[in-house]
Amino acid sequence: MRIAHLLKKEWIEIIRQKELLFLILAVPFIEIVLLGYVVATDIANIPVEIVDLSGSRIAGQVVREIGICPILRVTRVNRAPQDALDILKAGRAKAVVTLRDAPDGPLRIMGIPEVQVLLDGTDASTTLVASGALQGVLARVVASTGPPDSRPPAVTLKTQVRYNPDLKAIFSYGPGLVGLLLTFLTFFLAALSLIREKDQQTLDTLRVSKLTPLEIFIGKGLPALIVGLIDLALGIPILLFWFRIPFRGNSGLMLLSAIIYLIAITALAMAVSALSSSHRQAMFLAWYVIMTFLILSGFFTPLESMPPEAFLPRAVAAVNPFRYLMNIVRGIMLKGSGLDSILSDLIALSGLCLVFSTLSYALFRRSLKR
Amino acid sequence: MNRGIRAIIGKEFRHLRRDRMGLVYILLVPFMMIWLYGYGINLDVRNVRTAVVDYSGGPSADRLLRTMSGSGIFILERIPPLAGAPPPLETAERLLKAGKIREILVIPRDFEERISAGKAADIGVILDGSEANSAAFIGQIQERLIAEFRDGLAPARRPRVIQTRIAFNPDGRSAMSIIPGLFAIILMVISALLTSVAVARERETGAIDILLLSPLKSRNILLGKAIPYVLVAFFDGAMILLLARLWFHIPFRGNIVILALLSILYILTGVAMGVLISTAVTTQREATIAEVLTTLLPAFFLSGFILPLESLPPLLRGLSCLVPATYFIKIVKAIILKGAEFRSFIFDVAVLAGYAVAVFGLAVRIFSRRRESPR
Repeated sequence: MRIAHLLKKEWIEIIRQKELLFLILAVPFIEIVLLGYVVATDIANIPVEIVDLSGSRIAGQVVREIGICPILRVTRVNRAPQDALDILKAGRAKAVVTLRDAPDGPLRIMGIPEVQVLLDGTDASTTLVASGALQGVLARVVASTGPPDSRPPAVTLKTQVRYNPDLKAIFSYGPGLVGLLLTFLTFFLAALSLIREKDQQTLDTLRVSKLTPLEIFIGKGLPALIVGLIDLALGIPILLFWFRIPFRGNSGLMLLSAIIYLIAITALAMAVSALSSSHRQAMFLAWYVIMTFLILSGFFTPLESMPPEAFLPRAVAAVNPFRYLMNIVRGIMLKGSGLDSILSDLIALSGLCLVFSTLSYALFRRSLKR
Repeated sequence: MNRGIRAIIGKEFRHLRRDRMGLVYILLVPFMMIWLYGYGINLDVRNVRTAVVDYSGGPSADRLLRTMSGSGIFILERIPPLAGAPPPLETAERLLKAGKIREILVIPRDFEERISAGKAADIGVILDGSEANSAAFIGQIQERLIAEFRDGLAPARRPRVIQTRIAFNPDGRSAMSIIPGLFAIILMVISALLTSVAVARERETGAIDILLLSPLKSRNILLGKAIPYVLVAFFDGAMILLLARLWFHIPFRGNIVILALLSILYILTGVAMGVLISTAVTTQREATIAEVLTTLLPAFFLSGFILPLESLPPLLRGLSCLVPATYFIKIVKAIILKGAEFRSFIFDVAVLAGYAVAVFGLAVRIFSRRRESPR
């Protein structure tokens, strides 16, 4: 078959370059482990500075309790007045707790100091966590010193967490991380291999050969797709055996979804390179597409939180194959979802795959004719 | 300036000009990114779809649910028991598994009875842990709302002890903490990616031999290749800041001139990293993939952009010190959002400057050694 020769040429071009081989096979391996640890780390050690103007026994207890809390870390305890805002400006801490004696009233009688917390709002991810932790600590101290609350406990939440009872972050981020790396590699390889032919004018050689446009299209795209599958095969074992993420679902279903996804993004990458006439153009478009996939996928932050007036980002998220892949992979690995649970995501992914492939092939044919 | 450098700069600008569309992308893509992502990243959890299975059907449950939906954080949807349909809890569990909802609330049959008798009551909560961070957050919020509901039943007699304020960003807008980080990441990727690809291109087309045979110093060849991209990246940076100010209403509290000067320093660091990468690769394709893996991903994950650095284990903290974006994000936030004085981030500036010089020096050394004894 003619297409086999083209595939062979592509393979040679990839494996001939030792550096490229190292980049697509070894580096992702290292990055999954390293970045896995980064995303798996729970928020802890948020630096807190304390200004204790009260010096009372309970104030001392508050300082000690903050010191014990694993989420917070006391960097300094000042006895003299300090401007809390200046401390944050100088970047010495992410939160400043000021304790002073309460004005006359019930608090003063109980010996409970007044507490002011100033949080650094420039780092939204730590602000919320620090605020929650500080309130928890203070509520505990106040409850242990004041008179007991005589009200009956009105409502108790009996919470069960499904699929990931210890709320381990790596369970939710790990699969996305592998997906992200193989997206990067497949997309760039596919987008840049066609543009290379254009750059070196060897596309003309292919065009006048007996290969049909469809054969060229597949021959250029398939190697990138295979690299993506190899990286998947390397990445999943790291998740399972190194990070101990459970795999509760059907691996055949996972493979099927991964292949549909890889076809979709390879097609999109081919469209990018068909639309570009230089390496620089293809690179920038590819970068834009992948970053958008990542950010509008729910990988970092849940998509539902987007404001309703953000119409365009919502629309882009709806045609983002990475988002559907994330849902499917989390479903299969963590929830043990079968076909019935992931069906709507799988249909969306297949639909996108079909649209991208058709569109991309049309663009590719047009660019060959010119 | 030396004539040789000027010639190389002129040549590089001609490359840029000739590829019109490429230039348009370079100038437009960063702009589009900030615009789209400024909305796309929201660190606060909102619109959590929750299924309610209410077996009590009384007014207390209604009041509790109103407290929850009034917070704006939950979107509640009752699943009524229907004849012929599977039991509501089963339906809810199926929705949870399919990812259509994040949470199930189960209100037991005796809820109304117990609350009106002033006794303690339970509510069942089933959370989807597959998105660990938002699940933890939902759990916290819910405890607070339940406490609010309880205060509605029997007001607490205790005065409030704690006052909390958020400095620099009183409304807690995510865009305020995201956009400075995006600014840093985009500048780094543009400067490093464009430079490394520009040098790799000379090698791929073989034109590098002509440059190597010329009497130009290695340092000047590399500087000449890099300087145009410093200008391009600086222009992109200015556009991003303009958009941040005018569209996202990010306040500029500090000195904009200092920010501009430090941006140039940071771009120089990026360009130096690009030159270093380019000495290790032979084609543009390799250069691009190497940049993505060694510059883009670390800038994203190891710079404190979204995931905070303080919590990291020592080895990873050490690695994060090798990522220039770590320092620059701190600087940008200090200048733009905090209006901080120069001395509060002088350390970060010194590290960036040292970094740029060291990396560029290393790249020049490798480049000129290879020039003397080509492979």
